[in-house]
Amino acid sequence: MRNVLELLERAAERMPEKRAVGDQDSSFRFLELQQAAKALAGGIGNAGKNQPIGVLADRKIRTVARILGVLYSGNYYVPLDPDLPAEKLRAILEETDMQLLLGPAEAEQSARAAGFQGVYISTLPFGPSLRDLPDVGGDDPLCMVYTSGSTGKPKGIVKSHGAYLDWLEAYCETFHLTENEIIGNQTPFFFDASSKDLYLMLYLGATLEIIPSKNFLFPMDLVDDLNRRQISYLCWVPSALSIVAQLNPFSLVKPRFLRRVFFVGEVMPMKALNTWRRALPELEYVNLYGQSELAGVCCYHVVRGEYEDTACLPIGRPFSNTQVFLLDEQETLIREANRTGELWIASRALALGYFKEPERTARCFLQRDFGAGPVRCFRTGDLAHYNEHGELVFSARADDQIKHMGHRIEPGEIETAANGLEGVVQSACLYDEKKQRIVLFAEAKRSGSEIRRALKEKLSDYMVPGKVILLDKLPLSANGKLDRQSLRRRL
Amino acid sequence: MDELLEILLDIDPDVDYETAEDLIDGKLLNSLSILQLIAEICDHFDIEISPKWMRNENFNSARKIWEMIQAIQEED
Repeated sequence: MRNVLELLERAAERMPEKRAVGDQDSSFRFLELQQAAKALAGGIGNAGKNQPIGVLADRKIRTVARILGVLYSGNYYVPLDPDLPAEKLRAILEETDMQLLLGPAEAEQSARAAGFQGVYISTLPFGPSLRDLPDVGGDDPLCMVYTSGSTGKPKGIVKSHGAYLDWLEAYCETFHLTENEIIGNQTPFFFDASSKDLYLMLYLGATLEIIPSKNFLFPMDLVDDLNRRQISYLCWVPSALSIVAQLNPFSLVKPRFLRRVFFVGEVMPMKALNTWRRALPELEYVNLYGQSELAGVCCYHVVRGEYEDTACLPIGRPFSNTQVFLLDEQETLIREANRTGELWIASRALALGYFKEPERTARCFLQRDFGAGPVRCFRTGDLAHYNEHGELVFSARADDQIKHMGHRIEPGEIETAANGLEGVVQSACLYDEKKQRIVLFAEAKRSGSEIRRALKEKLSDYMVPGKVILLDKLPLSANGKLDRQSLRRRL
Repeated sequence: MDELLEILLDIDPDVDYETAEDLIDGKLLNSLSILQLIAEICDHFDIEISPKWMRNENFNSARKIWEMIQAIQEED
């Protein structure tokens, strides 16, 4: 296989009438999805090859058709939040110089307000197949996802068709997944994590069910929906599973078709997992670990045995397509238990690099030889150790990066946005683990409420601080640097 | 009710909770804030919100949330 479109071609040929993807209102069968995507590719026309094309991604089946339509056109897609603040969208449009956006009609106005002057395609044309498969190989880009950047500028990570194909093979082989899976999608399509659901559907010829985000607030409705659509497999962020656990609906309703509960994106609170396991002990629970800088995930741990509520779940061991190295500061391999080092990943599923940032790419993706020949590695910035069973356990970040509700956030991006506001002298961003919210400390001549409101214009929803605390002066340590420890005590 | 308004304002001070009737449907409360709200309510009013109360209509306005808290307290 050379590209992910061959997966759809295969599924459409083998089972054209099977439900491929469904949302609250409608669905595509595999043949319909293929035809819709090809018709869209025809509408895209001669946009060139390997060019980035934006997809404003809502929670509808049409988003899946748009993504695949971009791929059929021989280009790669950049999934974007339709509610992205204008300033952030403008920055991405300027950096990528995208001349084509696909998205719902209702999102066009905000794209125009962000300065987009190119062609906006909102309709899904239906008709006969217009194109053959494009000449796209494993090394060609498939998508570019944006993540938070420490300097205030989001980073675009470009990933290839080959990376996804490689991950899919290793993943499905490990868990013996079949075309009978019905996948319950939780993460929006503009987040990297959703690509796992999408390509798993294509690879297996399984069904992808898009769950309305409102259901995650009300677990009774959520479980009803899981049962109605006979969902058998979930791969959600722990925050979503925790909400269900905290509001524990299982004494009243249970998901009857569910077989597998996988989680990824942040540390799974053991108490929440134990609630799930006590209520639904027959299910398979798997802790997954990955980075946006690779397709899919790279490590897994199948949860077995009992864990105390205070225990830390291992991230386990690498998939067959991946090598993971635990290194000390001198880049020497750590093999013994309970010694902390940084995780480096070598895998064929690694990203191609950062968009238009060759220096950053060279700094983070490195060629190393740890004894078995040179391999291309990604330096994760995650600290970990081996436990007594030889399993990897995540410890902490090597830097200040925050994980909030499954999203990776650089405090620097929030601080840069806040410091750029009129009336803000200086700010510092911390994460309150107990209340699970982002807190911004600021020296400012504006109220906290005004600062939050202004930040909503600049940052994605999930990055806007939950609380702003105004201080006369931010505390400094003896060497004149910002004293984050002192601020932490004020949380 | 004032205590509830204080909790809500702490979560998002930009919403007019006195008049808003579409906290969920209007996406004024999202999944990031609902968990915080529930935790704060349970903590502050020393109650447990059982799953049967977790319905859209009980959370769409401050008044509705307050009625739910009172009903749970009466049940206890």
